[in-house]
Amino acid sequence: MQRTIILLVTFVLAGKTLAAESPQQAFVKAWIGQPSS
Amino acid sequence: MKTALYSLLYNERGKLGKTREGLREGVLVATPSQGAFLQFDGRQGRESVVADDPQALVSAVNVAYEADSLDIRPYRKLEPLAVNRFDPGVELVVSGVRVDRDQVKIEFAQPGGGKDPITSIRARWPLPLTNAFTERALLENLLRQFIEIKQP
Repeated sequence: MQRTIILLVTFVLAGKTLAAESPQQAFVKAWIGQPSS
Repeated sequence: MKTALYSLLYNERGKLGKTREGLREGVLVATPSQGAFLQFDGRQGRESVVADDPQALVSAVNVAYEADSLDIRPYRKLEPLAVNRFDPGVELVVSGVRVDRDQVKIEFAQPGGGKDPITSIRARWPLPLTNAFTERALLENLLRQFIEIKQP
């Protein structure tokens, strides 16, 4: 039981890390594809 | 573009002797305190070349990549051909963005012309960029002195 809970917590934390967008990624996303003149 | 952007056109001969022709690399570097200059990054063991104007850049690259008779490969590894100038008012599309240790690089392609970059601009920060990227607004302001993002 204890092992299951620890594994679950680990997966949740890993998921959160993957989902979070870094400031650098946000910058790239904001600029890419933009037309400029 | 608010100001002209520049790309160096060159041929490069690789380690196996194969020549890649008509390569193109954006050379404009903007800084917050030292103005803008042209830089062609060093390769094949040569230093980066910096110049204030396109003609000087071509000449300096020409000298930097002269064939070296002491080299195992005693032939010219890189031959600068010309500098492409993209005048103010030219419309391009941002095809690539890279955040490096102390700079961001914005690459541009022709509208509707694929993703191959034809020129670029680098905004260089005097210190390594922080993980929190707190320099973003300042770098964007710097970039906007050279390029204008068109609102759809």
